[in-house]
Amino acid sequence: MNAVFDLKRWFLYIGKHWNENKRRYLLSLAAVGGLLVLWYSFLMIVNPENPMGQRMQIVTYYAGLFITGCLFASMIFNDLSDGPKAIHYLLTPASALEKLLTAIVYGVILFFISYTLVFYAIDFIMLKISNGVASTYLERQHRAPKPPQELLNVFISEVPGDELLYYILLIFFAVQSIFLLGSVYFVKNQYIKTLVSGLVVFLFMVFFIHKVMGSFMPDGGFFEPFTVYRIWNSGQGEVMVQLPEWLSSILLFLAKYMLAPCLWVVAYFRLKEKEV
Amino acid sequence: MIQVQNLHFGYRRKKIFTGLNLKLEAGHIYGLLGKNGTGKSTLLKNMAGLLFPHEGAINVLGFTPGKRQPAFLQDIFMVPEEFHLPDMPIEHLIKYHAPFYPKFNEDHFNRFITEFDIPRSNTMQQMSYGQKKKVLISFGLACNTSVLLMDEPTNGLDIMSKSQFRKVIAGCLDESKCIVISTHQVKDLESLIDRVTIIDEGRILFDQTVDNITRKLSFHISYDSDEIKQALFREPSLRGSAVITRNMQGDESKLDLELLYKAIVLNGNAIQSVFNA
Repeated sequence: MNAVFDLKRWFLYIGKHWNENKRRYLLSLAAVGGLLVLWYSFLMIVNPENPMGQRMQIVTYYAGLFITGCLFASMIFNDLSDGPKAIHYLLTPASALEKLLTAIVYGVILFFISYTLVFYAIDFIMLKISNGVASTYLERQHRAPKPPQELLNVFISEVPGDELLYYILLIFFAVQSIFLLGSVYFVKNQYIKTLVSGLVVFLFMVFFIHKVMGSFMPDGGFFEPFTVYRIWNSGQGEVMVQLPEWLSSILLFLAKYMLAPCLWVVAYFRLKEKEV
Repeated sequence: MIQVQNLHFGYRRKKIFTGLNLKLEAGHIYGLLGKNGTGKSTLLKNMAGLLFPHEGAINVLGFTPGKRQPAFLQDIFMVPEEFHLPDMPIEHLIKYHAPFYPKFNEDHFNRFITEFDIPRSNTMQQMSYGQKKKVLISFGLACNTSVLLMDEPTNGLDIMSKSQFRKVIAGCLDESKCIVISTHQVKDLESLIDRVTIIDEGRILFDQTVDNITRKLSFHISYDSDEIKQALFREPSLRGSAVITRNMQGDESKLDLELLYKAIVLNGNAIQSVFNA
């Protein structure tokens, strides 16, 4: 038997985790669905002319994803904050890696899929109602009807080549991983503590880049993150200092795809050293 | 089977162990006795890998408990004083939790559940504290792990259940198992344990087999004022005095664990002198 990872044992653990938490997970999804219905209903009341515009749907999707995703991730190791539950959790015969991977499967992957499915299910129904509300409203106002809003793809921008939504999604996974780490790191009030700690670290980084690094860098600023530094030079105008292509590609790749896995690795070691 | 060497452990403001040494062998039921806050639960948690020694080493079944390797976890079971059982029917406990323990025996589990008179149709949430504890004890015993650690297992059990508990535990011991029971309710363990280990102030105050104790000490009620005066420990009772004297007859006497515990705590040197001689 492998002490670090055993596929059969992991599947057993995944099954056990589902059996113990399914009620909580399904209730959470129902609550997310309920909140989406409430939000869209509120929009129909305050803006009956165009309650579910495309931008509003995208904002709703990502705001909901960030809030509920981070909240969910910060609760994924909740058992560790309660003595008896922590004993049950830590003494279950599975490795720390299997326990962490299970948390990632449920807290990151399955959460993302389930949230998206719930969002689309609610969005689809509420869109039908919203189009009805909008057309009734315009009819009462004796105004020309507008074409009905359609279900949109929340992952692809309507503007060709615009990768903003893709980057927001990557940022979400990184931020959610911070909350997952906070969940195993802090003993109580994980959500608030992670939020405050994350904010402090972020502000420190901003301060470090602008004030500390800025003090020995030439007068200017980052033009494109990790690739181009723009120098203000009164004599020569703007001077762009660009990193070699290979280096900037590596840095960009690391920033885009490696932040979340790195935080998972930290969470793994934290889980291994957890005591009750 | 369990070796504790030079264990140093403490919490932020309080040192619990400063150089504790202990060796526990298979085939025995150890009674870990001591006042509240003397480190009984802490010692069990160190053995289970829930706490890590600050200094020294613990070896359980050839593993370092703190690493919490699956092969170690599936051969050790702990019944903590405050425990958690997920809210599920008993059948689900067998289906989803038992497969982690290769030596789990469903027939044994069903027998224990029947002996403890647990209603099988209820989920954990519908059970009382005592019933849940009995389910956990039954499950732990049915796992047939080499090491079974129990922290105050009789807390919350009614009188009948306590006697069932003793019966079930006694029936489970074999040469390959080591059972460690920590308690301050010493009466509950009488006639069950075969080795008494008393901890106080983070150190081993007394550690003897029951056979040795009953061979060297005599526990009885005495009305003889001379005997009472010369006793290693005496305690007035309604009828005469409960005393501990040297066992001069050589026959095994009946152990009074509560009296022994008081004697060790209040007049340990006198008792120890009998065993050191």
